[in-house]
Amino acid sequence: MEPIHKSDTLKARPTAFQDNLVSCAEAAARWLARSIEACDGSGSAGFYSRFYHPFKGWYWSYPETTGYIIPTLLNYAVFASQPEYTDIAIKQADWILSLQFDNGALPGGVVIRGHRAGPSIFNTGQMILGLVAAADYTYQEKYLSSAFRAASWLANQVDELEGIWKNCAYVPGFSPAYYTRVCWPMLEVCSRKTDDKIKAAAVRVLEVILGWQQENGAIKNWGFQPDRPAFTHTIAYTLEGFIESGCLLGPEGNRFIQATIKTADVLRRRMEYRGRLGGAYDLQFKGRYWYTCLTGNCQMALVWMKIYNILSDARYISAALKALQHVMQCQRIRSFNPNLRGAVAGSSPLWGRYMTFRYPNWAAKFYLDAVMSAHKILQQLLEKNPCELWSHPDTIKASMQ
Amino acid sequence: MRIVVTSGYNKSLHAIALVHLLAAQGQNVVLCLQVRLFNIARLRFYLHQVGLRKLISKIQRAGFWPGKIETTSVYEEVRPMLDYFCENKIHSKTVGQACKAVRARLVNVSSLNSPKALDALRQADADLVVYAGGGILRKYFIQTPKVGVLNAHAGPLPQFRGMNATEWALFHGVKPKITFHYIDCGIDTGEILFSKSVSTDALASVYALRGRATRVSVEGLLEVVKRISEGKIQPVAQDINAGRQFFVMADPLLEVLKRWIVNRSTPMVDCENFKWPKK
Repeated sequence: MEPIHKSDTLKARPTAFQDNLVSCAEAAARWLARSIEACDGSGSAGFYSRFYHPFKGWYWSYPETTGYIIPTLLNYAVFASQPEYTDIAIKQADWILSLQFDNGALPGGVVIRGHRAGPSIFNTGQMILGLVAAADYTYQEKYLSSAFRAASWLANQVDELEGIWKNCAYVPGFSPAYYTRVCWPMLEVCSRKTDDKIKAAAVRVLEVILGWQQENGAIKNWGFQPDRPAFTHTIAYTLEGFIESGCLLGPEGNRFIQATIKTADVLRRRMEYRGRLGGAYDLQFKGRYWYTCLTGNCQMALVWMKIYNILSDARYISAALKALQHVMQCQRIRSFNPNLRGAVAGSSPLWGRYMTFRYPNWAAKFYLDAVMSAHKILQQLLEKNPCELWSHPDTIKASMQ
Repeated sequence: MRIVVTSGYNKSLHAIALVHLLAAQGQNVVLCLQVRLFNIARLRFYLHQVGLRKLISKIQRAGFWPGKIETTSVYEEVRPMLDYFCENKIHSKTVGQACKAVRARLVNVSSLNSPKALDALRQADADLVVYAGGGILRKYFIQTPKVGVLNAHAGPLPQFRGMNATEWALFHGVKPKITFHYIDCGIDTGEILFSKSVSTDALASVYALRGRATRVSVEGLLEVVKRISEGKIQPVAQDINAGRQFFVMADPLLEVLKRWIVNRSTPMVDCENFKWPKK
């Protein structure tokens, strides 16, 4: 039997920060489960706020965010070895199936007393992510065929002249840059069920939005409203869409990854110089620093971690961890109100411009994603040595031998 | 050669050592520019850079605020310099005392780029400024001394520019090194004069590494100033594209680095053999 070296036992042990990540993740996951309980298991409540809803506190179930919470809960079930989260996630996927229109579209807005709103481009895309995750987990055809019908509807809705969606928008008549995050789910569907029409439509939209990127890295129409500073939430939506699509497209998608890196690098530098990420940025990257958009922080952390995984550039993981640490300090861990325990606010301070006085479910979702991702990367760092981690040229490896 | 030393605060150990040992080396230390510790711009800068919690811990470390401080880490960081003080029989406890001992003028300024600092620098007719802290320098300050502004960068250049360069080098499996260079308008992009390795033998923590790096930077600065005054050193321009600029390392990565240091299983390469992959 080989003797156990001291370093081997040390390597496997997580750091104190990782332990903290685990407890933060647990609190966030419990809060998400509670947001679903608040809607009797049919979707996750959009947000919790005693300010907007003094009696119940919880808002109506929000199909869009429930959709992308599904993969988060499935991942958390594996991360924490808690299979009950799988059951919760799959039930949400079934609920989304029940909301689908005959033409394949999925509804926007919230579901109030069982009544769904009209179809929405962006929300359909986000729910596809949940359906695809459920299909991957259960191997049941119903989820993938539903996702396929939704993606086909999206492909059909692309304006032939302009190459982007003009209908069923959040702000009528405004096509935002964060539609990249609709292209990504479409490409996810294509990677499981090949369809040239869906792929071509997604790539076309991505190309149109890529054309909106300015020399300084900013992307036109990257906010909820035209000509207004964009919350980091929507900036990160745009970047997530680009980078995830780029990864799915292979060599063809390299330009989208490069576009992401260009913008993400500017934001990383801004955050490092200012010590934190602003709540919103205009097209000249002039930031609003009096508040932070916590959701945006988590999403940017995810984008930076993704870039770190691609480039093995440690500056990105450092920035991601800093952004995440800021949110960790803001998470409500100790609260007498069980509906607040584990919640993440829209903004810090709570009266910041983004989701003022509210605890949205998507803040907890992106937070949980970022926490799990950070934990994984830190574990990888602990289990390897630096020379294995960074892609050094052969000269270094040769010098080590 | 008329030399000016900068200092970030009154108890800066490396500034005190430099003032004493440059004078002992026979250099003419004419002026010490000391930045006031408490000024709004500086507090704002630190608040942005490190956050309130770390700022308070930094002030506690400097001994201006009562409270619980990590005494072990402070001791580990300061010990190499305290040993150096004993070896060289330096008894001054403040930069003011050191200046008095070597009869150098001490000027307190709010910033090294302030008109007061620039006036003092011009009056001193400085040949060389030895930078030992005090914040980012602007063009007018850099252009004033005849020879230049000398800096000890705590990492191998051109590869690791910016902050926490010692830690970042170690994080990438590169042997830590102090690089002595002239300051220009970029971030650690000036001409390189010399470099000196920092030993990682029997290293116990990141703090100990920082302490060793401080001592090596003082020793190296003395050596470089001597060589400059003797005309025995030639600056070499940097290849800026061969480097990356780093910022303060995130705490969780420092934890990983600590673990690597404790493991001592990390193979390390010389910086000459280290190149960043092409974009």
